[in-house]
Amino acid sequence: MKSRARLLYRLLIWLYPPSMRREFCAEMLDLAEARAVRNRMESRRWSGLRTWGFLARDSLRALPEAYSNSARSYLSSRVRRDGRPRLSLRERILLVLGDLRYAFRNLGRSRGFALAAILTLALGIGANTAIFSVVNGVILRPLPYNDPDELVSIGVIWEGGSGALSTISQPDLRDVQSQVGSIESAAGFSASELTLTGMGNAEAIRGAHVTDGLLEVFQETTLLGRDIRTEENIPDGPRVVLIGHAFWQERMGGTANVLGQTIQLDGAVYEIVGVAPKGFDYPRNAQVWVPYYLNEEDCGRGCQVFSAVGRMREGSTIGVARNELSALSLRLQEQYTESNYGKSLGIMSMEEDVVGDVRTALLVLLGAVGMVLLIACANVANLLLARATVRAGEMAMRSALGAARGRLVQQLLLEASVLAAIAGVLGVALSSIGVSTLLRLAPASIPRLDNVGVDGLVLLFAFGTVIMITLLFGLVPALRLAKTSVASVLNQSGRGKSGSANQDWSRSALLVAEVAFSLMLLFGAGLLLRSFSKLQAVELGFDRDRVLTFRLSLPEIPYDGNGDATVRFFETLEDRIAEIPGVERVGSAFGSPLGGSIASTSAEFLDRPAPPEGQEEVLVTRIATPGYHETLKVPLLSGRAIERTDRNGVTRAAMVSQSLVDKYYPDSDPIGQQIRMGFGWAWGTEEPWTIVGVVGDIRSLRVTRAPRPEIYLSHGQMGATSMSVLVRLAPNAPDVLPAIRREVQALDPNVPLRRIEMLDETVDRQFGPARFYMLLLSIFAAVAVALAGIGLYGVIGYLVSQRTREIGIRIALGAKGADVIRMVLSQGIKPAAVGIGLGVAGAYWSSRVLQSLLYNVETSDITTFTGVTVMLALVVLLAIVMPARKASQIPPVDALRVE
Amino acid sequence: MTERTAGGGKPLTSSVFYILLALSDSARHGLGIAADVEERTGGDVQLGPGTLYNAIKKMLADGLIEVAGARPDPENDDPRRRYYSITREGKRLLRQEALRLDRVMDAVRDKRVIGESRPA
Repeated sequence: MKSRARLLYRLLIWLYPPSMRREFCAEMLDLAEARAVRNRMESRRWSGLRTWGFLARDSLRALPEAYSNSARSYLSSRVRRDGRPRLSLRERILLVLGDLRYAFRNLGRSRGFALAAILTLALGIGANTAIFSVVNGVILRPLPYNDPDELVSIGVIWEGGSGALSTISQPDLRDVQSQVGSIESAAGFSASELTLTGMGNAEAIRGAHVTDGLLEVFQETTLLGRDIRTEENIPDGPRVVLIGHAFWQERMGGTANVLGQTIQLDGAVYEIVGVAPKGFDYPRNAQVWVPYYLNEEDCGRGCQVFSAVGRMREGSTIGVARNELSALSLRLQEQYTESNYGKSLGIMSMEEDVVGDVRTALLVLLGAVGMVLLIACANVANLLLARATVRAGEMAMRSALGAARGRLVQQLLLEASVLAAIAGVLGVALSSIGVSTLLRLAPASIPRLDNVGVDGLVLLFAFGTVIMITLLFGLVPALRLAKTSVASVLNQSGRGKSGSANQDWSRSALLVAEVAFSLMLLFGAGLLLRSFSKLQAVELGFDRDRVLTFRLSLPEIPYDGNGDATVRFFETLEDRIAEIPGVERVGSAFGSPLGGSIASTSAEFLDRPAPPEGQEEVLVTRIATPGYHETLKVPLLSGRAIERTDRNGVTRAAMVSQSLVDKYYPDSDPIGQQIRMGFGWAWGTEEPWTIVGVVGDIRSLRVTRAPRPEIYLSHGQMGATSMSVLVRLAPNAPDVLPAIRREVQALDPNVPLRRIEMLDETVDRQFGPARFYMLLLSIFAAVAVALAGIGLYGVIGYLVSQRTREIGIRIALGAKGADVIRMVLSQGIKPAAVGIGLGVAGAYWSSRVLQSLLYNVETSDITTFTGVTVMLALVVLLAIVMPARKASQIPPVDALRVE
Repeated sequence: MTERTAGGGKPLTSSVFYILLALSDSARHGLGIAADVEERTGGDVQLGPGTLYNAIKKMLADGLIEVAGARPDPENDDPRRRYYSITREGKRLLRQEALRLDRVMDAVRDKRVIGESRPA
């Protein structure tokens, strides 16, 4: 009993502050035990319970008082206590709370400083958090699929090509499915827009022509019914469709008896056989999936129609799959030379495929904005250092009165973290503005932007940033300040000296870092700027102004295979559009410039010996109506343009681009030469095309890509059903779109207008990413230079103010203004010069990461290098000279009166 | 919490007063103080360990009591126990408080709230 009471009370004693426990534990135990013994000896009933009731009541009363006493004695020890008390966590918290109050009071006393520091840091944190939100949403968040790490993109890598994955043929894909063990499942698809009719207005909806097994790859199963089956991927296979969950809900009423109902796609009737699970919309927000009806007789291994996705077998790696695919490629190249020559099968993780080169750009931006934050930190650290000198007296006094060094450091760190924490909260608030601005500015070509937002990871990042900067800008001045010796400060007071040599050193280091980082950012921004201006100056080869474009895809029924109807449709439409007031010229082509779609076709030049099978020339092929080149103002260089009379039944007419002439007919006249194309639409491939004219080159695929040899085939002899219509408008033309819509409707109500936009918007989209990165990096660089300038100005100004007396004496003793300027200059120039030196080295070293973002500019571009260095040097000089000049004009009398 | 003030304006807390009273005639250890107080108040005031040592700690800090150097009864002593004795300042304060209480008691007697015969 005795020992039990003791034991239990020992537990209770743990609730008391340690200072109390240390001093009185044994005695308190004795007392408690004595009480228990007394109660027992009096042999009252429930003596144990009584004892414990008493002790508990006692503790309840005593504990709050014990803590408040211990806190009070601690607080009063700030000036009275000597030595270093060992403190418990609880006491430390109390202590920190006290310090916190003190910190707030201190910052409140110097509001200007606090405001400057908080704003600088908040901007830095805000910008970092904003950029990180984008990085997080685009790069870090996993793809929204089951086990996304196992998903891969599979495709063809052409020898001598860009190395990118391109589409794959059905037989090749089937070999991948059956012969590559590390790939568990794979499916092919061709994303497209299908025209939905019979449910109100004709409408283009996103969908895909697919092989079987797409859902399986994503480890999904249909909500209702079934997926597309293998036996349906055959020519003239059954018209069946798998519909998306949203489509089912919104258009089919979400009822279970949807299976067996029909919808009209591209003019044909499809039976609904399944409903995809909620949220599944691969590829590209698809809502309908229909079988790819492929005739392997016509379109075999040479016919790369599918994009392909796959899932890795568990435990296998992409490296293993890559090896397996290389082996398979070699086998196929040997076995099917005519179709697989120069063709290898490639694989990459789907994430890599989706995010691609955006990763580099975003990481560069994150690095850049991080540097801006470092510069901001350096500025605040400089401010703190300046304050440290001012507060050296206070610190020395507290130290002399017995405050422990650790406590002083803690106090200063606490002030720093109060600053950082306020800035952090403000920064996170600012970052939401930053994110919405970024999203507005960001080009649509950056994937997954809809994922961008503030989540736990972003907040964690912001929190981590706050901690990091607290240490960065708080610790150095804190340690420096806490080292200040009492004697030195007391001796110095009023002596007008600019801090110790040590302080000068840390101040210089901060300046060096600021200047160096600024130069690196400036150089990066300069490179992107130069690259962008080169990009803008690129000769496109066509006139992009005032051209309206839209795409028409005629439904399979009745147009597919019916060349006459197709040709008649476009001819009539062009005639009618030309009549609309405000329209200057109209023309159409399969594949508008920079529109993203391109057809490459094997071509056989009849004037030269045929190459071995599989090694035919490949030409970028477009199908154009007569008005196409004129509408784009592409010059006709020789021969004639395609005309309406070039229609089925007469000699096939083609135009070629200048670069085709340069490559294939450098010394001869191309007019009249014949080429047989491996690609026919309505009227087959047998009859060759005769070159009737040569037109100028245009950048048709990408602004950054040099023109390639192109051939334009007469639409009247090809009858392509999917065409981009280009309409050149007169200056100040009225809105012609409604009239155009009416004309299309009148010709065929089942044909929707797709991708309506002005050509200059199409072109602009190509500049989008470059402009975005350039803009952001320029802003960061500008902020960096401004911060560095302000920092330099502030520090030099501060040093001057500290030396006012000395300068006054010098002037009184006959020093000239120029001497004073030189003296002050020398103090600022040294760190600035070192900073520029380091910056140049850093820029040279780091600019390599920009390589993939640059167009026609070397990462070591000397012009940019010189330009930004001179520019920064000027800013630096200005920031130093201004306070120096001020110093030189100090009247000696004032200077001596400073004390 | 009631504050002790040097000017004798505010009354002492009861525990401080009783502890000073207990130590006024001899130095005692904590157990002895608690026993003395309990006995003297007829069991009305029972000082628990928390209450007692809170008060002792504070009184030590305020200089009202001190840890006694000399132990009164070396024969019958537990070496672990610390003895506390009252300081001059403690005595002054105790006296001041007693006078205050005396005045209070005068008033009580004047008003005949209680009879004369009962000792405090």
